[in-house]
Amino acid sequence: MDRRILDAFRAVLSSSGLITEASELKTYECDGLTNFRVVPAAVLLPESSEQVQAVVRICHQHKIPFVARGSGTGLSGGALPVANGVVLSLARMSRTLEVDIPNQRVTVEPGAINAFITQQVAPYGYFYAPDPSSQQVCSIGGNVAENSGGAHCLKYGFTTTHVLGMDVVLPDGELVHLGSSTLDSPGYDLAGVFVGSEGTLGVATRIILRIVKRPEVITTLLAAFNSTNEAGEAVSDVIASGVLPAAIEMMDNLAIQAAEASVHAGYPNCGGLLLVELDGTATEVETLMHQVNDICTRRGAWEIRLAHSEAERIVVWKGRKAAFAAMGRISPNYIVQDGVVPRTALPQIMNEIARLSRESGLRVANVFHAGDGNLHPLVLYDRRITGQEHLAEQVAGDILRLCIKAGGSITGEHGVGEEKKMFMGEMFAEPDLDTMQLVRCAFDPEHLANPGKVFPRLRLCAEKTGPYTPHPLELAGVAEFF
Amino acid sequence: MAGISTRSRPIPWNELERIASTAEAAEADAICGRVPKFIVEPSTAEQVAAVLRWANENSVALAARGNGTKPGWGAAPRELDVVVSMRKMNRVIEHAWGDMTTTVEPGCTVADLQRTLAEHGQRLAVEPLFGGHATIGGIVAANDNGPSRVRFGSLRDLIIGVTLALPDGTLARSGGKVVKNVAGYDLPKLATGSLGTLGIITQAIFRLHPLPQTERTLTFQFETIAAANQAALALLDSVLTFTGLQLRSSGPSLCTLDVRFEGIENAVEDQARRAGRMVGNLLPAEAGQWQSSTALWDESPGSICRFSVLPSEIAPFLDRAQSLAEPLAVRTRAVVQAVGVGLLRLDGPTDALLRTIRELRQLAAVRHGSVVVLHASGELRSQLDPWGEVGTALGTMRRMKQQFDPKGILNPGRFVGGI
Amino acid sequence: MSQSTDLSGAAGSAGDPAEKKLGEPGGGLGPVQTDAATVTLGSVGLASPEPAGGVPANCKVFDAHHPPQEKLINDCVHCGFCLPTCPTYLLWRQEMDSPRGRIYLMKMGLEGEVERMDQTYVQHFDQCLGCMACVSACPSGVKYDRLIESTRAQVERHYPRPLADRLFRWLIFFLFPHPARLRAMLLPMWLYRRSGLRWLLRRTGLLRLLPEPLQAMEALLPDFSLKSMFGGLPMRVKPQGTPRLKVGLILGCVQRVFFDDVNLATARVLAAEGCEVVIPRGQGCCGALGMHAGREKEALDLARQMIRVFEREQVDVIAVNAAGCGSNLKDYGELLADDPLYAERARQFSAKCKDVTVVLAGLEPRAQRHPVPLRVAYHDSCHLQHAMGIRSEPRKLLAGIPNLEIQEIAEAAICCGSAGIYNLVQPGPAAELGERKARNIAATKAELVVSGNPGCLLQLNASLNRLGHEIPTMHTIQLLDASISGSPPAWQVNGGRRRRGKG
Repeated sequence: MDRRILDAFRAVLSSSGLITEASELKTYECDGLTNFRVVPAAVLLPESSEQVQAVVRICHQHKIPFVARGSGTGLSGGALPVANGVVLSLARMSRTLEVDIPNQRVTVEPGAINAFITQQVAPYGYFYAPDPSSQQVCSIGGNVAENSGGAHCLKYGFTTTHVLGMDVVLPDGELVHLGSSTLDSPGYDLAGVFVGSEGTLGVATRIILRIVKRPEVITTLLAAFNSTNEAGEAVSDVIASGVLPAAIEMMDNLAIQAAEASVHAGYPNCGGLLLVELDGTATEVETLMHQVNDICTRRGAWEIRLAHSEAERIVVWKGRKAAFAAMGRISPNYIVQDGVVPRTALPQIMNEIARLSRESGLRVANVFHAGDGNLHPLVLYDRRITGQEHLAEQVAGDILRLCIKAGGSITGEHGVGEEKKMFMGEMFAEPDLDTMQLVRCAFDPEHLANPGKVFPRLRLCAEKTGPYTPHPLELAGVAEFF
Repeated sequence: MAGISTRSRPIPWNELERIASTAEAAEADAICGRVPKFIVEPSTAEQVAAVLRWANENSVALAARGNGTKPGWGAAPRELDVVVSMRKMNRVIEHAWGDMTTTVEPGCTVADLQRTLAEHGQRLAVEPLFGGHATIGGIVAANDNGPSRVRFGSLRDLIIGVTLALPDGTLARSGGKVVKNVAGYDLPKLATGSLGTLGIITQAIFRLHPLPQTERTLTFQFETIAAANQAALALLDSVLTFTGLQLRSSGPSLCTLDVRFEGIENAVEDQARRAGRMVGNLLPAEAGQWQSSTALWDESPGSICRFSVLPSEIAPFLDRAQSLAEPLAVRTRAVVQAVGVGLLRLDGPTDALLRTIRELRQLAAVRHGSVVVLHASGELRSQLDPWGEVGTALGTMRRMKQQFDPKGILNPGRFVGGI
Repeated sequence: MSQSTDLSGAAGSAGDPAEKKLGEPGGGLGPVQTDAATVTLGSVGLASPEPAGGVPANCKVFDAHHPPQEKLINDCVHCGFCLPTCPTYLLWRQEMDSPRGRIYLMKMGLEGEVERMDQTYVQHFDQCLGCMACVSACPSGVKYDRLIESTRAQVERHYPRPLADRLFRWLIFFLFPHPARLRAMLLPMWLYRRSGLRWLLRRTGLLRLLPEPLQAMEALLPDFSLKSMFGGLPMRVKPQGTPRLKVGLILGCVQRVFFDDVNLATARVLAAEGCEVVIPRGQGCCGALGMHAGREKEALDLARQMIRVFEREQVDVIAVNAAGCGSNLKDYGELLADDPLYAERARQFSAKCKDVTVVLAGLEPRAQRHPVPLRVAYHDSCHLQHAMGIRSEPRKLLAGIPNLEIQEIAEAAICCGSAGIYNLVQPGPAAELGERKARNIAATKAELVVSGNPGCLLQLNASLNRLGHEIPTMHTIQLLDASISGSPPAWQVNGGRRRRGKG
């Protein structure tokens, strides 16, 4: 990168806020998804909203693409750097700015860690509801970019339900406030559009979150079934009976094995493990838990355990939360897939996945949010065996296609990022993608914010005044003008 | 924006008649006081798209309409040639009760939808104004929510998919049929509350909730609004899982708090008992509390504002309204959800109303609140921007409008900041 | 260059193992070798043939002797769960100073993507505390401790440190692993403190003219009485009541010189609980400091010596009261796995080593505990909680003391910054972490802090002192000793000794 540009960055940031050494840059070449790697030209670590604005302005002036990064735990390559672009790490902006308990709002910087929010408000009896499994390390800014969910979003909703407003630095360096700490602010719901936009519309530098009162009682039920199909039937019955649990999770035998090897949660060795969490007032939960217990028994559960205390619940959830990373113990490599199908299509999808596994010879472990049909098949393989990585990617892709065919989605929580952008064209028609592009053009007409993610093809913004000049990417044959 | 008013050639109305059934408009079809020339009633999404494409080509100003329950919302449109009535597109396309989702056409009334959903013990957890004949498309476009939002969220939290017809004739799908979906931008959110200024909704998909077994409402009386606000905050801070928490006030004296519990019978009874112990002054049971917001509209025309403040600011806001109103001979009534969103009705001379609203806007703005005028006389409307200040995001909103509707044919001038 | 340092002749003499001369491998100025080729051929003093381990062909920075293992590196799935547990990530929020980033740097090194070991590359390994909080947190079970140790050894062999750095490290390893030399320093140190010289240097600000690492050393200076200069324990301590266990005691280096009281207290408590305590003569340093800093050869030599010393006694269990030593002693089996003469002996030795709190927690309490009405904060040292997973036993012992109120410290899993010699060679981050820990301790409003590691205690003292908190510190076993003996505890506060008044 041009020395003068680096000097410009250096002038804005603190002394350790600019990384340019080759070996150090390489450590930023990927996020939680290691299949894609690109070394950035520089990594910037701003420490305030003003610094973010200043560096974005420099990027805008010199047309340098930038990729915002939180803790780098994303699973779709959303924080994958762009060649000749910079990585904007928000990790140093991790403060909690305001805690307003009576109004149930917390304001934080984007690098603040998800679980830390709950830690701070727990003494008052509150928690921050979206709880991705990586919550001990993932950042709120990252959650906003991906509209992260977690096991409890069945009842409580995702990040977008809990973000009220944000300060956002637009790709031209302007600082705007989207949404508000009050509800229903007049105008377009730009905060709602920004959440889940995967860093392609700007950089959030201050985020107002909604916190939720901790229920009086939380009870988790663990039920062992002979197969995931049977467990799935139980789930359907639970939903049909009018009960809305806080979370319903399912794991198949392979996933259970990995979890046991890693954290020794003591799960029963069964074909399909169901975790149902109910919360509410004591009376409510007690009655509902009996109902759920009966349903599970009727559907063939051969072991049922109830966890009442916080300590017991932590043990029950430990295995589920560590499931992905624990795969490392039973397989040298694996691909985590993230797809959604309508819940009623789950049994059929499970059969299809089993078929794909048989046909390819690769094991597939299954962990999923049974309540909302969000699957996480983990395709296990060994990179050292020639051709297996490619085969695993194929299987993972086929699973996504099954999801689309069943009327679901290519991503429930991990985002499209780099990994799934080629599937966007299968899930949406061209006009749909063109329309989404209009949103992008309203925020980032020059495509500087995380370019190349989410959308399969670069679409330039139609609005151009003055004589037509081809964009460098067009000349390179990489883009078309619409 | 390209000038509609600078169109040179005459409008080929006959082309419109060929796309969908068209009729001449009447006084009653006015929107914010502007009477259109024609009403067109498409039956399919393709017809809607065709109407829009035609209007865009010929620079014709449009406004979409459901059952016309909110014709006075927003600012008066700069131009209005055609009202697109969505009444014919009123089907419930699908109720996937196993997945707890439903796909609906925009002209379907909320009441009809709820009836259909109830057949399988489910509901759309909204309680909009004019619940009897407000349509789905209308409540989404107006972001009209009700008391149940305290538990189930607002429309933006319930809508999971939308198909928008754009001025250039595109039918754009986004979201999907599954609740968990983060593929692409969240256009359903963009559509919600956009008052038909970015496109016309031709289909919407929602997540559903089970119908409760039983319901119980308690109403408590308070001497002051401040006391009611305190009680509301205490309940918000409690572990009780109410599905409605609402303050009602009329003038300086009367102030009540409604709390609703839903669910299985013994749990509801238990919670009602606990709430009763927490709060004093229980009034005897009445009916219709949860339609109080709609009831504000039932009388002779006054001015109705939707305001939004932090939950702890409800009492200071209403007290200020009262202290402003009283010396000016303005009568106030309010129905506020404890989350901080409410309706304030003001009856009195126009200047007094103007002053009151302006001052309240300033007060609310201190802590990032808003006051939007939903209903007012033409005189009041001409002297006050119904929306109020929007803040630093206005530029981006303008650019958004420019992208979706470059010619500005959809409700031009009706939205915030003159959009 | 294979060299045997058999010290069996040292039996019976109190004090040091054979001293290394300048210029010899493992004892001398400067790195052992900077030439990769020379190192591969037995210069590390092993009598055995070269162990398996090789590096990929295009690797330019590591040699074939125990490079960071590719197999272990591949266990890392890059999930990032280690980041919030890493003290340097908490301080600087940079990927390179997180376990995930360091593993990535090792990988890059192996795969030939790093041209040479320069400051930019090496500093991130130097800045790792070796606290192993990441090992506790990793869901994939990556053995980061093995990785960082092998990498540090490579760094010591191949990175040409600046002269000042080399001198300082030489000084540290000249002194610390040699109790006799440390003891010789006691008188000058005592004079320095008590004569008023220290006060003068501080007052006039002359102290700040010293190079930072020496200032760091100075700050850590503990207080001690003249008596301890002549300290020493008997070789055998008789148990009270019927003997139930024969326990060998590791004296440690810093521990035996500066915290003699702790060893005395340990022996007393064990005896009170019916253990015959054996303190073999000829114990040197266990090699922990060297091993954790990558000075492999000298550490292994010290390990062999330790094994020989204890083989003379037939003890049931070997008790350790310094966490840093304990984890290294337990690793002897693996560290000497390549050495056919010692492999089995090391395994047997390691199997007997236990932290003293574990030994005691495994015994039914026999001696009466007198009440100690204090609010005490328990500080988990990294080598206890992360390296050895020992969290409940010390707490169980403390819980057995009547009227003691035990406080948990916030961010308990984060290192205090002591980390072996870290607070000497990386004084900046060590001070930041020390202060962070001190603030967390102060927030508990504790009247006393206890911990199971001398390094931690030195660091906590210095940090609390720097922030102006007058909270005394002591070793866990000393508190237990006080409770058993019924006499009020003597403790260190602000580096000064004070006896808590009665009543």
